[in-house]
Amino acid sequence: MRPLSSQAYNQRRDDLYSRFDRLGRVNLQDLGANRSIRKLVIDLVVPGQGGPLRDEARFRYQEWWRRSSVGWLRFRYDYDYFDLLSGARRGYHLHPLNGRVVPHAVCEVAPRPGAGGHYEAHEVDLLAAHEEFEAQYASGRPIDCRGLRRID
Amino acid sequence: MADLHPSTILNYIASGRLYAVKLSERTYRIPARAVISLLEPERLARSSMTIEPDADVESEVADEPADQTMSA
Repeated sequence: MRPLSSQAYNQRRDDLYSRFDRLGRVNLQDLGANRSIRKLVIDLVVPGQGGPLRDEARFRYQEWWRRSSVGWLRFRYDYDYFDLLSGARRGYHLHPLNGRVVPHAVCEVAPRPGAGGHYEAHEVDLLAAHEEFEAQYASGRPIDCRGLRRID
Repeated sequence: MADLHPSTILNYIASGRLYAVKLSERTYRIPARAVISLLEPERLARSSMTIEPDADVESEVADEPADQTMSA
């Protein structure tokens, strides 16, 4: 992902907020714009209406960006989709594993302590991850980990 | 939905007035929020955006290997 100027970062943030607000209730946090590390947190609950409409899914996206001479550089992310009805989870992460920064997928079909293996994955953009998760949610099919290759 | 003809709904989706997730050529899923937004926007639970420019998040990434920080 290419570096972003502060203006481009803010525009992307606002675009993401508008897009996700159409799907559910969004809580977005933009932290640290005046510092060397900046964090974007997006918590999206669907339907997110309360009342008789039960929440079905939660999308939690976190990104860490480092200030540089060419703009803001994304260097770490956690993109997660939680199926609130089944407790399953699917994610794409970029953070240290065994001392190395490595992009990977996360998949767990039932919540339990220590569950959720790490699987091979390429680096992804937030919107690409969201479109995959959104399609999974919209399909109504349960999350499964078939086709993923474990890395630990 | 709201006594609208299916072609009207498709027009709403095509114009962006109604948000829908396309599952196949002929199948869409329309989120409840999108329907409420169209019909009764005053019922929507409010989203929120918080901007804290001076927040310190550096401690969260203290485990980052200094020489392996990568642009993604």
